[in-house]
Amino acid sequence: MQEENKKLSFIERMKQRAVSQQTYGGQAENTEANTGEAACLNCGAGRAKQDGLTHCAYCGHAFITTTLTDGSYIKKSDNSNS
Amino acid sequence: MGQNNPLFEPIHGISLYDYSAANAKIANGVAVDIICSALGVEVPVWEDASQGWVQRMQEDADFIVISEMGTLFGQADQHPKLGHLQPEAGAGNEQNLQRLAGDRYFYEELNGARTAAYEAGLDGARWIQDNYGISLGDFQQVAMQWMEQQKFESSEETTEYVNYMDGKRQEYAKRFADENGGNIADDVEF
Amino acid sequence: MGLFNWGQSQEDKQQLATFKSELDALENRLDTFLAKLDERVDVLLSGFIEEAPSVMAEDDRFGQAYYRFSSAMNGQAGNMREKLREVLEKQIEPVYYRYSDTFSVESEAYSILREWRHRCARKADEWEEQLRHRVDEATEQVERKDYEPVFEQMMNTYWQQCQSVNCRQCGANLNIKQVYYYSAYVTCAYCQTQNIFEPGAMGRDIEHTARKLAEQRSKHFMDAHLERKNEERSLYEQMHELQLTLSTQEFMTKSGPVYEQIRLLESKRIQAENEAPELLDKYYRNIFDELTKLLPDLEEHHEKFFKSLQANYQRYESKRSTNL
Repeated sequence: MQEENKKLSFIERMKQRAVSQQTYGGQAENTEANTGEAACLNCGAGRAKQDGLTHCAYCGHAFITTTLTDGSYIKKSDNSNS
Repeated sequence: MGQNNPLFEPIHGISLYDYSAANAKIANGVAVDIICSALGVEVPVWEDASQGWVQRMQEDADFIVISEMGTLFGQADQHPKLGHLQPEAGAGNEQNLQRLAGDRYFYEELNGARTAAYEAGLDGARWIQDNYGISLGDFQQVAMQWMEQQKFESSEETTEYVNYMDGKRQEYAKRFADENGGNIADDVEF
Repeated sequence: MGLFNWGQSQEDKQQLATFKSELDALENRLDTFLAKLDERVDVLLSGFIEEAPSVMAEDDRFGQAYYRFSSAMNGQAGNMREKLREVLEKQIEPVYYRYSDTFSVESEAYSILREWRHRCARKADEWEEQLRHRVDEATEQVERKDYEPVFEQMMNTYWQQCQSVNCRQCGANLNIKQVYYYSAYVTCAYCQTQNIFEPGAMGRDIEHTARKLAEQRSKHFMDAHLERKNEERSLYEQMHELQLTLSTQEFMTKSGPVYEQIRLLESKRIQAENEAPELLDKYYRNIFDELTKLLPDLEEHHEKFFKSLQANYQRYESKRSTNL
């Protein structure tokens, strides 16, 4: 590799090093918009809007153990009643 | 700093300490969903809280939140819920990490090497991970600790460390250049 | 005695000539050295400009390979700068110190020596300044990008991807109507089930790109700000030059044609000095106005962010006291 490199111009070597280096934490991935699993892992029920986000309305499973406050997308009202 | 300051109110139950320690762990390669289970939240809750903390830092003209975050970042390993978390790849090289935290010259050497690596077109964080098994998050945590320490140093001591680091930077710069066929002006002489 | 205080003897003249030619030779070598370094700078920067687009084309969305490539270019520029500093330290300065200890301060030789040292240092400084300027220019040229189409394209891609995002529970389209910058719970309009929506790379990068675009749309204020600052500095320098030509009389009485000229420059200078911070303020104000146009849901945050930034740059504002 080093022997081969000598045949390249300085700029070519500089470029090759920049391009071939592994990035810390790996390449950034290009994911598309999609949805992830949100149903209850315990009983498989979905979470309806009126039941809140923190607990499963059917089996009581806790999705979230903290108390939600007013953030940007998530609000206090998203805490489940039970 | 005032506990009653609204800038420090937890967001969705996630305190600044949770947020800071979690970021230290993420920088170390701990996956976000592991962090979330440890904190008892789901990813959208974590992200909404993260966004909130970032916005508070941007809106805080006196940099109180960000400087407190720096201190807490360095205390990630003492965090009750997150302290024990390690990346799947393992804890890295514990011996080197301890040396980094205890031996200022070793820390300055790696600091210089890291700068030299970036200047040579290498990924400096990756270089330290590959050669010393020290992750970026651990490195930053130790850096925070040394920066705290620096407040109590005399200016002579600080200069001594800075010079040591720069000497090492030059040493490594030469090595990285040699590995890739030299610098562009190595043969230009006076 | 000879060297210390050259007189008119043949031997003294001879020594002075030798001394001068030593300095000349070193200065010529410095000129040649700088010219050779310049050739390498040409190679470095033209290569950088030529290759950067292909590095960028293959890069990931964070531009990490390009970051390494441009760091390496800057590293090489730094390396040449260090080479030059070493030449000054090892080739020029020792000669200065070797002679300066032996000359009397009033001697002609000493003033020749001092000016020579000063010239060499200035040549090095100017070369460095030039290098910095050229590196900045090359970087700007390579990184110049019109963010208008980039942003538009990102938004289009995001909306397009959203069209095929359906409810996990009932399969109905989630009908995403807002930009989510990170994952969020989105309620299905048909069955009321909350889905975890992941906006993907586009959605996650939108805020950052909007910032770039807002900066681009505000750049003319920044340019005008920098122009005023330079104008102020240049007027101050002109005033300073004129002040040096004042006679004692003019200086004491603060009057006369030169003094009037200085006053005129001062009023222009004050104007520039007052306008510079106003333009900086307009620059940041405009960035946040544009950001709110692009991302209206973040308006409240933009306002608070602006106030915090403003408090910080205003903290560093200072005015010159010219004391005319």
